[in-house]
Amino acid sequence: MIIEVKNLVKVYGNTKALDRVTLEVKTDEIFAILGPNGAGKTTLIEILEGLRIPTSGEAKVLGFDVIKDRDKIRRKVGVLPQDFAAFDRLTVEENISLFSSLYNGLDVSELITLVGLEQWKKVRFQELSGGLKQRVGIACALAGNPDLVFLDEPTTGLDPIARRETWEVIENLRGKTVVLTTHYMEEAEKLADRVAIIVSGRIVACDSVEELKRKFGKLRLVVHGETRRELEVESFEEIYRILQSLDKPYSFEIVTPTLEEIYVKLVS
Amino acid sequence: MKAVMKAVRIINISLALFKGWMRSRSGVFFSFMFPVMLLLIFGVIFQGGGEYDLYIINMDKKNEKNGINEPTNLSKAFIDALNSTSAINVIVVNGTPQDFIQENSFGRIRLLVIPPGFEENFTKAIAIERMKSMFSTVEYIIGNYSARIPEDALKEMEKGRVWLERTERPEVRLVYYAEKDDAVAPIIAGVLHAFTASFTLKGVGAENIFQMEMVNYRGLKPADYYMPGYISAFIMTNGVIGLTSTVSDMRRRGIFKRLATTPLEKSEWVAANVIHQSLLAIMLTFVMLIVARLAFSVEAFPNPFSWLLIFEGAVLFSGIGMILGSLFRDVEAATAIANAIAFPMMFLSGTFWSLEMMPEYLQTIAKLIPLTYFSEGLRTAMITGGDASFNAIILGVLAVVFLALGSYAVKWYE
Repeated sequence: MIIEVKNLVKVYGNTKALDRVTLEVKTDEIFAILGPNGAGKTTLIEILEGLRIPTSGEAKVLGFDVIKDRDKIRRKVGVLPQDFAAFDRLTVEENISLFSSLYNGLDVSELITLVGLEQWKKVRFQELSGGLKQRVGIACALAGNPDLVFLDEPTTGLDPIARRETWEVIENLRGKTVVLTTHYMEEAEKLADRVAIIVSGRIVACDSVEELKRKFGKLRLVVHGETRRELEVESFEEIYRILQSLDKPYSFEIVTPTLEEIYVKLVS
Repeated sequence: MKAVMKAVRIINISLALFKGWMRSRSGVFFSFMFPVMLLLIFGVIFQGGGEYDLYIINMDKKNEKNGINEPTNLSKAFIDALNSTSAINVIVVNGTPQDFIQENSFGRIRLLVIPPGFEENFTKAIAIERMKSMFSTVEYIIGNYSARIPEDALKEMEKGRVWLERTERPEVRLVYYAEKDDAVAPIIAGVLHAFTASFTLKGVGAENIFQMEMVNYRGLKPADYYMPGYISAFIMTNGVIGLTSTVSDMRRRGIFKRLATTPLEKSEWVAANVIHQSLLAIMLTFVMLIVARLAFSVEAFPNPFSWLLIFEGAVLFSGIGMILGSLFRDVEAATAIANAIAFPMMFLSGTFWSLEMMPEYLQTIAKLIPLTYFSEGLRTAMITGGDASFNAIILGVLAVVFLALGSYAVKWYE
């Protein structure tokens, strides 16, 4: 396991941002932390990045303790913070080059190619759109060639096209371990091998999307007879039995649960 | 290897800050162009020519054949001679003194009026003075050699002496108008007294027996005062205002947090900023020196001691900027506070005018302001070549303290 978290608690004043969070992230997987605003996603990720100290509990990242070894963690992970900002008056190339030089890291042109910013490399950061800025952020996160990359809400505020382009960039990171936070179901479903759903500082579910659907979702059978009937079913065997019991053939459809339905169910 | 990487990181962050600054028009304007403009403007305004304007109304005129009244030859010669002195710039105007003063009542007027009869009275008075001078010689001869002088000649001489005693010498009047509280008026009056005395001596045919040797040297000019003052003031504003907004902005936008998740350490970021500010300070000093040299012939060149003061100033004010920037996440609020601190500091520290001109209580306050020690020290080291070691010690101690506080205040992460 590249990340191991056990009973992690973080309290700000009277607010419990994280409440006994326990989870594990496997090496080389894309792991999504899904949750509404204020659920504790950023607090959790910042503790794992070594930027915040937990109130109690344990967590290990790359085998390092998040309290004792947080300096080591900070230098070994790649981070894309929420609303990534860089040096406004430096160009894309200069910003990526600066971050790379801090690590003695990857070749700048390689990074630019990886995130598809070749045609914008001479453009100043302040002149870029939100989507392009995020891509610079991802390039900077990869500058030190880390094994573990944290992406905190990488597509928040982006238009649908920019979001899909960013997904492509994240897909290209397969081979590294990626932990991303998001509140877009589609994003988690598209990118993540496993998803943790966090609500009010608690992990309420953690598994692959398929398993989550299986555990928390219901199959539905919609029969288009004289009237439209929608039935929740447990299994395909049950669908088969229902269809056989009908007096004459009707058109029907089988609806599989979406992650959004599971999310809404768990969050509410 | 570790140390090399550290140095590389510091240099790269310094270069990034420097590039960012170079590409900011307002940054370059307020760091370089603004102080240069101030130096040029105030240097020219207060440079002056050493001459005072004196208006003259010449009422001593004579009727020419064509019916036009022309100034008398003597009054014209008097004005020309007065104008040839380097102390007074003569401007001849027409009309009556009352009208002229009334028309120019908003300006500070110094007016000399040459009344009618100036030539006539001067000529008569000079003739009488010459005769008196001659008779004093005659009396000396009579007193010592009367036995050898014929009786008739003695009688004639006595007649002449009696005539001279009875003859009233006319007064040669000049009227000088000046405002009561005009501090320059007595200076001009003194110049006029000296000049009229010299004019009278010429009239009676005597020469001034004093020989005044003139040694030309380049005295300290306003630009000599302003240049080190502006250098110190703008090193202060670059640090206090510039770094306050930089720190506050980087903190608000999460750049610190992002940098914290790289091998860059906070101390390296602080060092990079100190290098950046020192670089700006050195560039500003060179630009100001070149402008002051070209525009005002200021010959100062910073000695090693001046560079030490400049470096200490850059460090000290960077520290203050870091502290202020760390206190406020709102860039506007942070910049407003920085301005509220920087501007009074600039005006109370003798940057723009001498501390001796300020009331005593403000002079006491000035002694508590770090910029006072910086600008005074720089002026001493760069211009007068005096000993500024006391200022350097004070600045050095403050620089260490404020840099330590600033480094502590910058919030890299939780």
